[in-house]
Amino acid sequence: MIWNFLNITFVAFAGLWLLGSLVLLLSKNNKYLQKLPILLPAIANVLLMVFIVFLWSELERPPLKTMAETRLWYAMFVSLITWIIFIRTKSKPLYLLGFIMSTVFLLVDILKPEYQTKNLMPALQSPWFIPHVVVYMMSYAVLAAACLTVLIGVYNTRKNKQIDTESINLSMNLVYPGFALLTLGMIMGAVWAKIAWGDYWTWDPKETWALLTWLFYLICIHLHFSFPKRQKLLMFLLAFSFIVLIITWLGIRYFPNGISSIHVYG
Amino acid sequence: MNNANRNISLIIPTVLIILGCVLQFFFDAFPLQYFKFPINLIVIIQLIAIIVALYLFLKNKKFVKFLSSGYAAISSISLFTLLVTIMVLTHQNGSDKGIVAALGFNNVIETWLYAFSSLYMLISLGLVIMRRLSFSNFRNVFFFINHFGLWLVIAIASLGQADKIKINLTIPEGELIWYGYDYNDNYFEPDFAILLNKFNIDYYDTKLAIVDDYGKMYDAKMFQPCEISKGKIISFENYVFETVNVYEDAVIARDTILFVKGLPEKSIVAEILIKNIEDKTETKAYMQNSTSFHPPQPLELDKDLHLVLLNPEPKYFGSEIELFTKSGIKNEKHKIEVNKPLVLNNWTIYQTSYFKSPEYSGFVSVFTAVYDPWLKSVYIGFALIFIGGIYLIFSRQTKKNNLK
Ligand code: HEM
Repeated sequence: MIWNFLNITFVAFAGLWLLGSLVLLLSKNNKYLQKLPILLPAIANVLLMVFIVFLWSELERPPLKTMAETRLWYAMFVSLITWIIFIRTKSKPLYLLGFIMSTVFLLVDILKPEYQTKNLMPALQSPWFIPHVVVYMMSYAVLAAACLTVLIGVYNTRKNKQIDTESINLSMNLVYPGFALLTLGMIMGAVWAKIAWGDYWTWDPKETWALLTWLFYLICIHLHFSFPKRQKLLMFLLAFSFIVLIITWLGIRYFPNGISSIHVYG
Repeated sequence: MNNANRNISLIIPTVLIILGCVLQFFFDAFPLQYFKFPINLIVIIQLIAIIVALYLFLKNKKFVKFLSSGYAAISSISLFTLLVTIMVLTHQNGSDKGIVAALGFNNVIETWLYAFSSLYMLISLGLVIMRRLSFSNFRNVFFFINHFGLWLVIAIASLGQADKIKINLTIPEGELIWYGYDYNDNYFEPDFAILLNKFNIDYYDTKLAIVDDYGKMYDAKMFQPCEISKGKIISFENYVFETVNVYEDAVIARDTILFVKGLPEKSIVAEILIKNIEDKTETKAYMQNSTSFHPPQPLELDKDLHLVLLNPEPKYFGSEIELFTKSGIKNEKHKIEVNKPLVLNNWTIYQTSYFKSPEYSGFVSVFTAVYDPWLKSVYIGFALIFIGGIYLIFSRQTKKNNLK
């Protein structure tokens, strides 16, 4: 059982990230030490990827079926994207938040494991299955980074009594590709649904929530493009959109109509 | 001008909400069924004509300027978002009563307000496209691709809905069926018939699991249900389970096994050797999964734990059929499987499910046939949005924006 190695992978992953974070916060202008905050998470991420690859080969199917499995991907993408953004922007708060976020998702997997079988019901045996879920996970990870960035922006705005335009721009730079990935995931899901079940859109609760998430980000994009001065409203909307996203992903079963969704699993 | 625009962007949704609710209250659901072909095609052409004409002849009028502005974009998308918010917060199966039902909020997509909201979005989106219609640079081209793709999808998916037919055909092995029933159990004859030659099904291996006295699955951290096949050895605490043999289409009768063909469900008997390492005892016994014709035969491990066989899950199912069409009595052989539907003109035929019934010796295969003449056009819209999406991933949006 590869899953039993998750504990070790987790300790290594979190440990490397933690070390990177400590060096980032404490080291002062040491040329060699400064490379560590970039190097260590890279190793951590490779470890997690290797774990996913092994899990994949053991299950003989992509590990994308249960919530626990999608959390693995999510942790990996959040960690990867945080790392890329850090290289570009050197934003320390983002580094820490990304680390905490991916670690928490792995931790949930350890505390709430869902042991899984190899079996994939026939409808899931489709070439659209992998790109659909992977693109969604990537999109969620990018949009999480966008949300973290905007929260940093809100904090700075409060502290400095001046709108933190830079954070908003950084956040929007993530929202555009994140929203685009959301769009791709939705279209692939629609094509798949048409092939597997006969309708590209059935207004199933999970689909409707996904559309709602998409619409909120659509509003963010257009607000940003057409009304660049409404920055406070934009900050609020960006944070709120991510709440809708999280409900779509994790929370719809707690809403009145969520139970009936065919997509609720785990 | 700006203040005026902001006011209009609030007034239009308000007026639409009031109008939509009033119409809903007096006339009930929006009559989409009147928009069958060719009416829907005419409406789409008219809509395009109106948008082009508005732009060409009235583009300097305040109202048209508003409709092609960011104000109208935010206003129309927000109104639509409001409707989708109602949908996620209420049951959408028409079951609620009272004011919610009177306003149609228990089935939002069939309301007048939903129709108005879509129309508002189509007109503003259409005028935005006209205003930005220029292929002078990449940005404009992709702007067009994104927005026009969405326009196509909204217009055609909504209006094309009226032409859609969806029926279920239930066909026992060896029989020819030329009719089906829709969701409301209305009889319908499509222009084809299906002869089911053979139904094929394949299962995953059955699984061995441990349950407690109440039938609850044993803690997954200690033991997970595990697929078994001949020779497989599984250990658990001080036990070792060896699978001596697995028999398909079998049931336990007293102390022997009986082979039975044509059982309605997958019935499996496993011969298991249980070795207790501690007291060095060995027991060999048969066990069987649970079907609606036979109770499960578990094995007792100790006082409150039992070994059970889980029902095997289907891995594959599909039908070998012959297709007869009215236009020319040609019969063709095809395979229809899950995820591999058969496309026939504007019909798509899906393998939906299967069952066994005492009336028939073989399987009964359930197909869903969907008629959607607008599908290709919607897919063109999907393709455009997809291409636009790929551009959006790699384009840098904020830098240019800051220059403004
Ligand atoms: C009801 C739906 C929509 C409306 C009414 C709408 C309207 C608008 C408007 C008014 C603008 C400003 C353009 C300008 O000032 O020249 C705009 C920009 C934009 N919209 Fe939309 N839009 C809608 C849907 C979408 C969708 C579905 C996407 C993406 C898939 C999208 C992506 C964009 C982008 C990327 C821009 C910036 C264009 C550029 O920089 O060239 N919009 N939209």
